[in-house]
Amino acid sequence: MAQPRDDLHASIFRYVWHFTRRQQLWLFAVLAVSLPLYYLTLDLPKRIVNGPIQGEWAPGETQTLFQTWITLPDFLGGSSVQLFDGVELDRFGVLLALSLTFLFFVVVNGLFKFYISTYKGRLGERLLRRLRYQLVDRVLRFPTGRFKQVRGPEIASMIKDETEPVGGFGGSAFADPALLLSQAGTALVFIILQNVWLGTVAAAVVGVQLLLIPRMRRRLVRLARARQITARILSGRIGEVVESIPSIRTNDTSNYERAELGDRLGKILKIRYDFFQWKFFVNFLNNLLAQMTPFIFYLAGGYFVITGRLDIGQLVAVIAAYKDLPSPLKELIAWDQYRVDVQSKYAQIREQFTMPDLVDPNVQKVSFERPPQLGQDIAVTGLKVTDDSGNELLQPTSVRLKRGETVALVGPVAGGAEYFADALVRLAETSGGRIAFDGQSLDALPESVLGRRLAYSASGLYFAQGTIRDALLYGLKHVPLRHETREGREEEKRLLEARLAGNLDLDIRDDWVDYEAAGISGPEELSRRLAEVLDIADMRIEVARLGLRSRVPEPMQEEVAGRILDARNRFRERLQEGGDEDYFESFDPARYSAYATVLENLVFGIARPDFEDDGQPLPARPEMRALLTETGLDETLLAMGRQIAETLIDIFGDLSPDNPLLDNLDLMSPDEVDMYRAALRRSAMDGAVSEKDRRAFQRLAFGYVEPRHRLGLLSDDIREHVLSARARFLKDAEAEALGSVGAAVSVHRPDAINPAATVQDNILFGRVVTRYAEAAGRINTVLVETLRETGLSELVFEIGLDFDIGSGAKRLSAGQQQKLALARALLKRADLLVLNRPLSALDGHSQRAIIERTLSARQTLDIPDQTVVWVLSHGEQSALFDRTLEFVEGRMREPANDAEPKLAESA
Amino acid sequence: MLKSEIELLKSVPLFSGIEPARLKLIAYTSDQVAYRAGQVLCRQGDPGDAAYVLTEGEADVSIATEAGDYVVAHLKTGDVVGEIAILCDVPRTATVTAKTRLSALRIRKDAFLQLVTQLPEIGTEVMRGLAVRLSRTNEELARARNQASEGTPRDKDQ
Repeated sequence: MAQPRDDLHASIFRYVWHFTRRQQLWLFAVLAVSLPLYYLTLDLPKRIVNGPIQGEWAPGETQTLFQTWITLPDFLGGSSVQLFDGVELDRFGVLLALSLTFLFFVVVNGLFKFYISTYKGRLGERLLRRLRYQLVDRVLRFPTGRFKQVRGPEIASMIKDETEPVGGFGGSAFADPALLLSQAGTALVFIILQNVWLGTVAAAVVGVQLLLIPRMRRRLVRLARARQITARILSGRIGEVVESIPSIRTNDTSNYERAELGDRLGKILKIRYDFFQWKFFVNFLNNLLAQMTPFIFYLAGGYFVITGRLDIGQLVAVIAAYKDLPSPLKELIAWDQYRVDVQSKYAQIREQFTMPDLVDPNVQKVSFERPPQLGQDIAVTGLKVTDDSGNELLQPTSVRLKRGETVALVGPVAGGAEYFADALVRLAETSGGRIAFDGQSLDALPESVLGRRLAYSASGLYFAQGTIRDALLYGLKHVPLRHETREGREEEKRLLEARLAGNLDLDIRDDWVDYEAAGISGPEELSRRLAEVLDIADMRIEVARLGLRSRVPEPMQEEVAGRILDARNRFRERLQEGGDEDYFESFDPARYSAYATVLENLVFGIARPDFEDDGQPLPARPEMRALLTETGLDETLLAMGRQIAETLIDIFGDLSPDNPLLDNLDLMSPDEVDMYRAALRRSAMDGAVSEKDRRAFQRLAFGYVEPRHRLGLLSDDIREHVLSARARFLKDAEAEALGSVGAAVSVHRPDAINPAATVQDNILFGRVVTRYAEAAGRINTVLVETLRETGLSELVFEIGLDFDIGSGAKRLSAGQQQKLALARALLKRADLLVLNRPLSALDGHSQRAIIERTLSARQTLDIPDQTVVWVLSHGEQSALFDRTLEFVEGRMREPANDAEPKLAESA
Repeated sequence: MLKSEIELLKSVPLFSGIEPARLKLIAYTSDQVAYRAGQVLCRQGDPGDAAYVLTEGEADVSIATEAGDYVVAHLKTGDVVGEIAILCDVPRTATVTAKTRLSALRIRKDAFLQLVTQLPEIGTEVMRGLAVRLSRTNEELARARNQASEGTPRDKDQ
């Protein structure tokens, strides 16, 4: 973009004027045209009253109309007026003509207003977009150290909420005062023209209003400013509370937080209350002043009329004109209020986003050029890192890293190695010394070189919400390399708007992935490469496992259904070939599944993930109740549930409710023991079972699995009964006669995939016979073999790549996050790979394996000259590297047993 | 089924003194496991994590020696194996292999220890069972020693 970037002017007016000059001038022009029309709507009522209504008319007298209009400025389009020139009308005709003219001008006036407010609105929105963009741009350019002090939610609240009035002000900064002043002026001039005395009185009151009210409102501005700051801090604090939930829960400080937040809210309330009180008081005063004038008009004007110094038409016109005067005045005062408020807000925001050491925009300039490889050695001279309070974290260090060298940095945590590594990728703020790539200072390198030729990973890198694929490809998205051509009016408008608001006009919908940097020719080879880098980071299997446990994404379902069904069949064949059929129990619409619960057997399906759960459990829904009653299963399950309750109470009943043995209950929770005991007693007494008890007993029966609970309750009769109810259920579900129950359950079909079930469950389509000690392991093996044989491994991996990692990758373990970050750094195939304890969450053995693979990957990824700098968690792994540098207490030394010639020196 | 399992547990010496209500608890917190012929229930040297009561089928208990595996005992329905493992941390002293298709009640160590901690009367009964067994073992040891001291010269002669 050619836009000058550093342009948050000190004054809001200069800011607005600078970016909207042309639009403001256009607005002025439109306003200038509309004003005389406004004057006419004021003038006409007087003519109507004085002319046809109250004037002296002889019977049959006519008047020539529109003649007088020619003396007016000719903006009305003189020719059309000329047409009516000389038209003679009688009294009623004149009334009609004048009234219609009045109506015409009212409409024209309204249209002008409509146009102007739309125009202003759009202008304001563009300015808002620009301001927000500028602020976001500045956040991206904050110096690294600044992020230690800022709180994300506060920044967000400033950019999102606090800018809003500032943006809106753009439309009214110049146009509003111009319009309102001219309107008020017109009305005032009109009144003065009618009667100098009344005009002077009105002008005097207006003067008092204009002077006094804004002065009284200064206090409001102070309060608004305080309100803004407290609200912003509140956002920051809420953000902190969310982030520190683990600390809050483990320290029992939730009430401390409640009190603290409550106190803040109290302060905000006090400020807001003060604000409203003062505001309404000022409004009261303002209204009082405004009402003073009509009082004078009625009294003095009436006196003038009675004494004959003023005709009644003039008085009516004055009063009508005055009716129009307070509203522009009020708005003018409101505008002034707005101005002061916005000015203070703008100043507030500006203060937070203006700092001398912002990153130069040129450093982050869009660059479509591929930066050349960093060919030479990396020379570090006298590099020094100091913290905020002046402690030396890294003493002046000089070292030369040869191209293609693998360097291990060892030493205790905070010994200096991590600062050295961070400084290599410009993340540490250095306080002296120089790092040079190819003789070019690192400080001068634009990010388009640093971010593409260097790769970095560390523990605790943050991942934005997205899929695993997004997270991996993030390191390749520098500029949109593959454009899609988009045409049409919408597209033109979109681009025009972006430019008008000074936004970057690169299209986020284009393909930003730099395939060449990843060493591949295009998207079709991407998955293979991703699999490779994930393999190096020991993450590929985990991604595939995530894929297995995901549902088939909807757009893919149709395409892959056949392949999954093939795999389902192949899995069964393989079981038979291996003689392992008894390890597995397939779902069969006509057979009872022993390892599934009674409820699962009844509905023969699983819960739909997209079903809006209203908290009503499936068996309690009316359609289900009806089905149970009609099939007679109701009584069967009740009897079964009672037996379960009896047995469980018999076994566990005499244990106290907090006894951990009760966790073995499985079918009921420890708190329910007493409830069931009472229910049993009730039903034993009179035989009748209340609806609530009935449901409770049936709940036990629904969860029952014979091989797990082994109470010997599931007779063949009951099985048959459940199966016949299932047949009925499936038939009703087919006919969509089950209402919410049908919507909640996704039924299993032998000949189709179940969209609600995971890929794994869709292939297995049944239950592992867990009674066999070795069944689970064997089934897993057969599944993996089936996947490999049917070529579904790749599909599963693809689905795994689409796994949503959650905000901050919280759905992945710490180890997985670190592996992902490493894989991302590898994918870039950088000239310098800097890894700062990247795998701290893994055990030493896994770390070692990944280090070995990463170092040898330089061959497989075809980047033999990659320089690797690795801060190790375990010193003994340094044997895998060409060279070792040790950092202790900020000092670097190279262990003497190193084969490399000594280049390092400590100053 | 739970009922038959309880009957079975009653016949296990270690549990014989435990009242039936508590045996139900033990049975309920255990699982039924099945093995095919040739599959291994537990392996010598592995940490012991469960005791097994055979409910169906037969098994061999073998010890690995330098000369190869040596079967030291046969187990049949109702026999219990590995019960020491659920009381203390010792590695398995032998390998148990299913000889036929086999079912067993597996009493997991953590579940059993929880039972003993929560219901001391079970602990007392187990202790009594162990004490009886210890005194019997002592007697056997004494007898073996006597035999050994009597028999030693004869061995030399051979």
